[in-house]
Amino acid sequence: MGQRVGRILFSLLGVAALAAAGLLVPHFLTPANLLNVVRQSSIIGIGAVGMTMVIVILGIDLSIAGLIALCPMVSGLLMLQGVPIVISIVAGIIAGIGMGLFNGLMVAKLDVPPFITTLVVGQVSQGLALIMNNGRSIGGFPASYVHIGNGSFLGIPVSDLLLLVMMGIGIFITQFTPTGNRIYALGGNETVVRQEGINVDGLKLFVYAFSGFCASIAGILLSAQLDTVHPIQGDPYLLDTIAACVIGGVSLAGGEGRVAMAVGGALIIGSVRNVLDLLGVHPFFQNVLVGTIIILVVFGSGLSRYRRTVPV
Amino acid sequence: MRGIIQHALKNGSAVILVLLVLVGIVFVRNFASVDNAAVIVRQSAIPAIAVLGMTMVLMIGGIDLSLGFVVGLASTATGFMAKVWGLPVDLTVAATVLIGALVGLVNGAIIQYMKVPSFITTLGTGYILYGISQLVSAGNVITRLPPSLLAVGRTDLLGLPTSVYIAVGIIALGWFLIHRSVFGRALSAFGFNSRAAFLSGLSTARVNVLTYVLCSSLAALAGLLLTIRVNAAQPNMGGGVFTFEIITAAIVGGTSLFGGVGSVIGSLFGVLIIKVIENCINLMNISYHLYLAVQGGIILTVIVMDKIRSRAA
Amino acid sequence: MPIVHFFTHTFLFKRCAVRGLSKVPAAVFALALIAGTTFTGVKQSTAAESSGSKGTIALSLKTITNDDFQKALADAVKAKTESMGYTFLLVTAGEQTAVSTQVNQVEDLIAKKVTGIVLNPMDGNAVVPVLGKARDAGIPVVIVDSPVAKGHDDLYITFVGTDNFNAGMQAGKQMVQALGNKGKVLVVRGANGSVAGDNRVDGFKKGLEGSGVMIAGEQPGNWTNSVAMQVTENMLQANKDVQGLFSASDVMLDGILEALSDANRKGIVIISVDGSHKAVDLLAAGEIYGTMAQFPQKIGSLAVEKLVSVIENKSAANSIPKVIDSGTMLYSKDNLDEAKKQMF
Repeated sequence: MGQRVGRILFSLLGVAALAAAGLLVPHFLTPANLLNVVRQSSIIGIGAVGMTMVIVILGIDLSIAGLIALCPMVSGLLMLQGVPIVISIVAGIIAGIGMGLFNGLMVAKLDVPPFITTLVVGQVSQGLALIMNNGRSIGGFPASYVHIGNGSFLGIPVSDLLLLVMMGIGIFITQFTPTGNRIYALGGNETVVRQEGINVDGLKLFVYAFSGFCASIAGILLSAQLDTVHPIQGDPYLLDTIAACVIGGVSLAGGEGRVAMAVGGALIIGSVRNVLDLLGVHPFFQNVLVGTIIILVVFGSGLSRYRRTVPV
Repeated sequence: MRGIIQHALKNGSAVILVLLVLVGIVFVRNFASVDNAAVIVRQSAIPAIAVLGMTMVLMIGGIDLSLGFVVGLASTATGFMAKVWGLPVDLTVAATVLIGALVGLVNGAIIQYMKVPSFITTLGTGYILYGISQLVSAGNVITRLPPSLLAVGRTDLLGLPTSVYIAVGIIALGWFLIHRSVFGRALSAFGFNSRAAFLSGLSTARVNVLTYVLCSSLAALAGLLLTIRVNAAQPNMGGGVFTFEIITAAIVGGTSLFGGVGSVIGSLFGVLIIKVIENCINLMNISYHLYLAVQGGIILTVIVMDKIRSRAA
Repeated sequence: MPIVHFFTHTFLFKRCAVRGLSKVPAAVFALALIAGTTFTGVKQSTAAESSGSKGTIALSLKTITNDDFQKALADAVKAKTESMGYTFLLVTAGEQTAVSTQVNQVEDLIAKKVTGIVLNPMDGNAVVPVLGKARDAGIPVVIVDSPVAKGHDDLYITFVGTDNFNAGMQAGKQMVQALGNKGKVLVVRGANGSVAGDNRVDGFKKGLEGSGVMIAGEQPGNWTNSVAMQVTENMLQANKDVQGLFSASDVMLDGILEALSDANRKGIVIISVDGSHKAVDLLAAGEIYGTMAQFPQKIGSLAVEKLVSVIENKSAANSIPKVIDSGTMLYSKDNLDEAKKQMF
C-alpha cells in the first residue's frame, strides 16, 4: 500500500518538477523539446531495462558500450550490402544475445567475476566493431530504418514507442513471471535459491543474454537515430546506464529495483543534460553540475529508506 | 621472506605472470632484453601505486571511480604549483598529495554520512573533479616543468628512475599496512561483514573514510609522478580508462569486487600482467584497432585458466 | 569461503525498502539545483544577449581540453562572433568519443532557437539527420574542420577546414625527402575511431607510396601524452633501427619526446600535424623536424563571416563555395619566422 502511494507521489512530484523546469528554463517545456528528451534518453532507458536485472542478481554488465557499437555495425554492414532490413536487424540482435550468453556462461559456469567478463566482452565487441569496417563509420541506411530512429507513428516518435515496448517487456518479465520472482530471490540470497532446486545457472544465462538483447536494441536504435554506425558510439552510455539504474533505486547490493524506476532514472539523466544545454551552461561547469546532481539525487532518494548501518 | 614467497605462490596471479613472461620470451621478438624489462618496470611503477589504493577500497567492498580523475586533478595542480606559481618542490609534492587526501575525505564523508553508494559517489565526484581540472587549467597543458620537480621522479639510480623506487617503497609499506597491521585486519573485517565489524566495536566510520582518503592520496601521488614522467601537466590525464585499467589489475590479482579479499602482491602482479600484455602487443605491432580486444581476450583467458586451475587443485 | 561470504554479504544488505516518500527529496533536490543554476550565473549568455545582441551563434565541438587546435578554433569563432555583434555560445561533447552527445547537443541548440551554428562534426555521418532538423528549423549551419559525409551539400552553407588527408600526405612526402628516400618510421596515431587522425595517417601512408621509406610500427597514442609515451617506448624496443617518426598531432609530442630521450635515441626525424605554438617552440629548439600547420584562426573567422553574411541576408547561401580549404604548409626550421607569426 505504501509503495503505491509512493509511486503516485513520485509521479506527482515528477510533474511538479517538470512544471518548475518549464518556468525556469526557456524552451524546456515545448513539445518538440520534451519529445527530444525522451528520444535522447531512450537509448539509456533501453539499456537500463536489461541492466536492472543484471544488477538485481548482483552482477554488472560493462559490455553494453561495446555492444551498442557492434550490433548495429553488424546490421548496418548487412543492410548496405542489400540484405533486407529485418534480417539485418535480427542478425545484429543475435550478435548481442550471443555475447550476452557468453557473459552468462563465464559467470555461471566458470565463476568469473562479472566485472571482468563483461568488461572484456565489451572490449572485444568494440574491437570487432572497429575491425569490421577498418575504424570508419558507416551511414546512409535505407529510409525505413532511419524512420525507426527519427520518424513518428500516430504522432509519437517511434523511439519513444520502442522504449515503452522494451520497458513493458522488462516489467512483464520481472513482475509477472516466475522467472522474475526467481531473479529477485537470486539477488537476495543465492544459497537458498540453489537449495530450492532452482536452476541458478540458467537464470544467470538468461539475465545476461537479456541484457545483451537490450544493448543490441539500444545500439540499433541509436544508429537509426543517427543514420550512422560510429565504431565507438557506445562509450558515453555505459556509466550513464548504470547511473540511471542506481538513481532509479536499483540497489547495487542486489535483490531489488524496478525496471520502470530505472527507466525513470534514464529520463532524469536525459533531462538534466538537456536542461544544462538549454541554459547554455559552459561545458566545464556541466561536468561539475552533472556530478553534483547525480550524488544529490541518489542521496535524496535514499534519505527515507532504511539503510544498512554501515554503508560502503 | 619465505612468507612472502609462499604467499605469492598461493596467488594465482604470480603463476600467470611467470607464464606470460615465458610466452613473451619465447614468442615475442625483442621481449627478452634487459632494456625491455626496464621499460616494463618503469611503466608499471606508477599504476602500482594507484592499484594499492584501489585494492584497499575494493577490500572494504567499495569502489573508487574517481581515481582516474584524481590523477588528472593532481596533474593540473602539479603543473600550476611548480611552473605557474613557482612553488618549491617539497611544497608542491605535499600539497598535491594533500589535495588527494581532501578528495578522499569528501568521498568517504559522502559515502559514510550521506549514505550514498560508493559507485555513485565516486562517479559523481569523478565528474566534478574533471570539471574542476578543466576550469583551473582552461583546457591547457603545461609542459617543460622545472628540473627540480622532475628530479623527484626521474633521477637515475642503477638504471631505473626514482619513481620506481618510490613505488617499491610504497608497495612495501602498503603490504605491511594491509597484511600485517591492525588497520589491515580492520579492512578485511569491514569487507567481509561490516555489520559484525561494527557491532564488535570497530570504528567503521573511521575505517571507511580513511580508506578512501588513502586511495585518493595514492592516486594523487601517482598523478604527480605520471606528470613528472611525461613532463606535461594535463587535466585529462588518467581519466576513466586509467580507472578501469587499475580495477582490472586489482581483480586479475585476486581482489574481489565484493570485498574482504585482497592482496597487495596480487594487485602488483595484476599491473605487471597488464603491462606485459600491452608491451607484447606493441612489440608485435598488432593492429591498433584490435589493441583493447586482444588485451581483453588475454586477460579473460588468464582468468579462466586460473579458475580452471583452482578447480582442479 | 566465497559462498559464506556471499551469504553474509547479501544477508546483511537485503532490506525492505520503504518506498513511500523516497523520491520526494530527489525531485526537490533536482529542482533546487536547476533553480540554483539559473541564478548563480554559470550560464554563458552575458548581459549582451538581452541588450542589443543580434542573436546567438553556437559552436559545437568535441572538446577543448588538451587540444590547442580546437581551443584556437573556439577562440577565433568567439572573437569574430562578438565583433560582429552576436552572442557566442560554446557547446562541447566533452569526450573524444561522444558522437551521440554532440547530436543531442545540436538538437538542444535547435530547441533553444539559436541564430546560427558552427559545427565541427565528430562523425560526418552521424550529424546528417540533425542537420536536416536544423535546416527545417531555418537555422543556417557552417561546418568546420571535419567534413560531413558526401551527398548532403544541401544541409550546410559551406565547409571550412584543413584537408587532413592532404596534410598527412604532405608530411609523408616531407619525410621521404628528409630521410633521403630510405629508412624506417614509426607512426603514433590518434584515438581509435577518430576521423581526423585516421585521415592524416592514411594521407601519410599515401605520401610514402613508391618510396624507400617503410612503416615499422604504428600504434594509437590516444591523443594523450601518457599513452603516446608508453606505445613509443614499446615500439622503440621492437625497432632498434628507426630514422623517423610521424605523430598524428602536436598534442602527443611531449610524451613521444620523453620516450625517445629515455631510450637515448637521437637524431630521429619527427614530423607532426597542427602547427601549434608548442610545436613551433620545439622546432626552434631543434627537437622536431617539422609540423604541418593548420590555421584555426582563419577557419574560425571565415566560418563566422560566411555564416553571418547568410543570416543577415547579405549573400545567398548558394553563392558561397561549398568547400573552403584553409590550407596547410610545413613549418620547419627554414620558415620559423613565418611559423611564429601564424602559430596558435
